[in-house]
Amino acid sequence: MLKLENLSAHAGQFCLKNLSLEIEKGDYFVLIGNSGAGKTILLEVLTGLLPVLSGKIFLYQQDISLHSIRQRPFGLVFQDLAIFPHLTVFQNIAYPLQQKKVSKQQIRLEVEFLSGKMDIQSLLKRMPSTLSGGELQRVALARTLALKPEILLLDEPLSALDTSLRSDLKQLLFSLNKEGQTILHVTHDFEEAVSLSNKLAVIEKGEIVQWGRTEEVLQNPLNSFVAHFSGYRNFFRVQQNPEFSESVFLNNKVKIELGYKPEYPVSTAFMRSEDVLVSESQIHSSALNCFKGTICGIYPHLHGKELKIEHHGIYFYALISNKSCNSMAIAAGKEVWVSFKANAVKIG
Amino acid sequence: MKTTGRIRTLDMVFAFLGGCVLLFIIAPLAGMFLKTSFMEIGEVASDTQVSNSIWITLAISMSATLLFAFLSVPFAWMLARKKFRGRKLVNGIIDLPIVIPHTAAGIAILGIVSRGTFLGEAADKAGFSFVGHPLGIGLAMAFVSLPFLINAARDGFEAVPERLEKAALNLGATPLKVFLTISLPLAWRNILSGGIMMFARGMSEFGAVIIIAYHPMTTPVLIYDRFGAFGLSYARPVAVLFILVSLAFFIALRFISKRNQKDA
Repeated sequence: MLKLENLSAHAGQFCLKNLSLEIEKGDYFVLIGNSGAGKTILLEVLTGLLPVLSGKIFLYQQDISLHSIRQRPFGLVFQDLAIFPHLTVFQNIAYPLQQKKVSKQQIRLEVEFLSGKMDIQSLLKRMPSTLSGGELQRVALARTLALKPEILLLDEPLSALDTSLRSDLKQLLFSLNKEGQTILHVTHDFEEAVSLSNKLAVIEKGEIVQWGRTEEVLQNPLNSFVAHFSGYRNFFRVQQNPEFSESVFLNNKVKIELGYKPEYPVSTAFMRSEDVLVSESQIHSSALNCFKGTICGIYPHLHGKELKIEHHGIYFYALISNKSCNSMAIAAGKEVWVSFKANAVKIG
Repeated sequence: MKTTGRIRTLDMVFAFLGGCVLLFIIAPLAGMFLKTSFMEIGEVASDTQVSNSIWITLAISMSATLLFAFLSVPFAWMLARKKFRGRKLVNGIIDLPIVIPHTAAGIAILGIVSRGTFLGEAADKAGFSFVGHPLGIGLAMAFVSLPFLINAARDGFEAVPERLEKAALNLGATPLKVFLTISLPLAWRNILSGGIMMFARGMSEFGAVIIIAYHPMTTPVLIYDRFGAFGLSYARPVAVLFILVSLAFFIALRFISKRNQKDA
């Protein structure tokens, strides 16, 4: 449906470089990256608000790179929503319909339908300044949907909302997608990306570093940036010794067992912090990798504490519950054992 | 406690200085009003030369403001939105009339509208002359007061988030529609304030106007004329009446501007 080929563009200091990806009809495509990675620029380039420097944008095999803003069937919900403050909610939603010269009767019906869908019928006569963040978000969505866009572009749509509103809006976006609305959603929030997307792209410094089906990206992160976003906190550049081909070395010092012989040369190894076990003494278990290390950092985490453990200059991250943390009297400087199964180690 | 005491002393010093400045503004005006009786004001109000001059002054200044608003508000939007080489220079040029002595501004205007110039000859062909004509007076008023409108409008457009204009474009509006339905309504209060300032500044203009046209007499010229011919006591009631009329207009326009702000 939408294909980007070596797309480059820039706005001020930020630029997009040779960006390529494809979005199919009905996809919920999430583009994830840090602030300043170029996510918003990509949306503005797609809508025609920023010009393409080089490369092409194809929509249904038609090159639309040079099409004007009005010719592009993309509806963008801005991060700050960009609700027109001098117009009522009704007038805001009706705005795109008025530009299409739709009859007043049709506008009224369409606004009623969209406001019903977004559950904001009671707000139609209100001015935007009297609405909450969640209500404004729904107005912005209704207004953009009035365009009947081929692709709905969402710029950090959940970032300004509190937890309960986020959950409501996620449901709403999910159901819109299920009804067939193709969505391109940009965010810096990993949980948001994973919970909504069927395809995921990771953008770093204006370049797409990896994209594909969400589970493929999560299972096979290509570099530490993707691994960080996908939750693999332990990410290492490794060396492979031919004599020990079922294992790899970290910093040429620490040997990691893989448990099998890889079919290709290995350059990276990564694992989730949840898969790393921490104990006060060495345990005899099925885990092939077991090291003694020193706790050098303790960080709060949604599910307990994340420990940073140093072993011969290598840092392992382990996630443990608050209860375990208390029972083991975890403290910085304490010596502990870390262990993980060979099959917890992913390679790339 | 000591610090609070010092702050209070400082506040009092500043309030005293501010009071002096306010007194400097109010005292001459109050003196002029107190020395003028209602009868005198009534007499000048029924003087057709005075009422005609006030009417001419208001009409010309209002017309000049409206005409130049039509020309300069879109230009102010460009100055707020477009980044181009020489933008700072253009902004500087717009402020020039504020720093030029107004009689010099009148001479400059005369230089482009008098006979023998392109505009002068065009006016001749149309059967009139800018010199001694309301059009010439309007040009002189606009020249010295236009910066107030352009600067206020530019500041107003700059205060409109560009995202709103981008959103409107994305929602299918043409650039002209975006200007008319988003930028203009949101910058309207600044534009109106600028317009009021331009109108007020234009109608009080004397230096540039007298170079272009002694007749038809605008009120500032009439006040000068009466002062020169008959003295202070004849000029004062005209000045008081003109100030009252100007104040009435100024307050009415400010009221509209404030109401507009509330509506927005």
